[in-house]
Amino acid sequence: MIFLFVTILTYGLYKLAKQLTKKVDFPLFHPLLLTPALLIGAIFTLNISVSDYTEGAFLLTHMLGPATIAFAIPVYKHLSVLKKHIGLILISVTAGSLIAIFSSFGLAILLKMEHHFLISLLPRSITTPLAMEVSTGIGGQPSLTIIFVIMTGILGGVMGPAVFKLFGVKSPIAKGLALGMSAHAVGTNRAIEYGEEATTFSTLAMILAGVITILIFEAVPVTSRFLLFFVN
Amino acid sequence: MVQRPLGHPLGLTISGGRAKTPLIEVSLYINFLKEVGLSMLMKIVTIFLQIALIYSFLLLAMGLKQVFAIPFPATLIGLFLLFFALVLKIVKLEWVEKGANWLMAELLLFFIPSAVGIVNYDEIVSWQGVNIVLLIGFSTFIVMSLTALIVTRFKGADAA
Repeated sequence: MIFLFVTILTYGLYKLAKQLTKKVDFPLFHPLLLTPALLIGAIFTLNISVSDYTEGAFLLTHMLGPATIAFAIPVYKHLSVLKKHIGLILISVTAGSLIAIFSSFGLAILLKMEHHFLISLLPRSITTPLAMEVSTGIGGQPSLTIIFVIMTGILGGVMGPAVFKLFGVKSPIAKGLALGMSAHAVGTNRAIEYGEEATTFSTLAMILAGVITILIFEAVPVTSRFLLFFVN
Repeated sequence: MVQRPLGHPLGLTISGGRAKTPLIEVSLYINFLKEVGLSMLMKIVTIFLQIALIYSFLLLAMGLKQVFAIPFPATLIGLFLLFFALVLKIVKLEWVEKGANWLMAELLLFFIPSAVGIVNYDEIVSWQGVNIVLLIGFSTFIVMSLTALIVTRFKGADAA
């Protein structure tokens, strides 16, 4: 019974938060921050424990699997663009992924972050479902990683136009790749403002950054071992 | 009324149209629904069946991962399988497109239960939380500017 109740409650509050955030244009007023806040309030009032809640909502979490697989469709649709610019996309996204992992790692060491925070920070630049996979794989906490991924998206989406102005970036391809690489889906949403070409490149960068980051961590176990060696 | 090939609206042509009778029944049923103006229900059924097809790629990926001990997450294997199935025309785009669009549009909903798990970490509202926001902001700035600069450099003349 709790399964049905929790699923309907989550869906209802999510739709409500989406409606509310549509009317207010403020970056921190994001459905992915507002809905959990409302839900935490609701389950505490109704005296439902957090673990009962997460177990009850398993069906929603389970849908992340097919949702990630669905990313094959935009890549397939933009296959001609991908083929034409394959070198440029692979070089920039691979470099971007490495920069994202190592800059997070270096800064976390500098700031003497706690172990589980540091590990959960490493996949923060990629789209949430894949970031959760990486986080679990390297011994991080998926729920911390989610929050870091959301913060990355919100901050990246906000700073995008200023960064492009600062460095005189005008090409929609460069803007798209940079936004998709650094701010995943939120960045891609921002890229819509720069036209269809920027949106396509942003979508491709977002998905490939996820794939490449997984490859960096899983196919090259040396990376994880090297990073984790410094932590311990 | 537009005449469609049998089974097409539900993406059931996977069977190659061999099983004639059930497909006719399905298509009659669809026409009936259309006539009563329940196209909404049909849309839901279409999305549901398409998600089921996408889900079967996850199951296939999980099986392959188990059998061949592939080190990648099953979702990533599934993504590659679906991609190559589309490229090799084993799966047609219209069989999965509507379901995939719904899944991607509602992607945020699926993270929410896991995001609620944040209540287990009260450190996030301490000085460490401020440090994390600064770290993420600075690191995102580095990633975004360097990616943009790499693209501009690599593209050369047409970047301006």
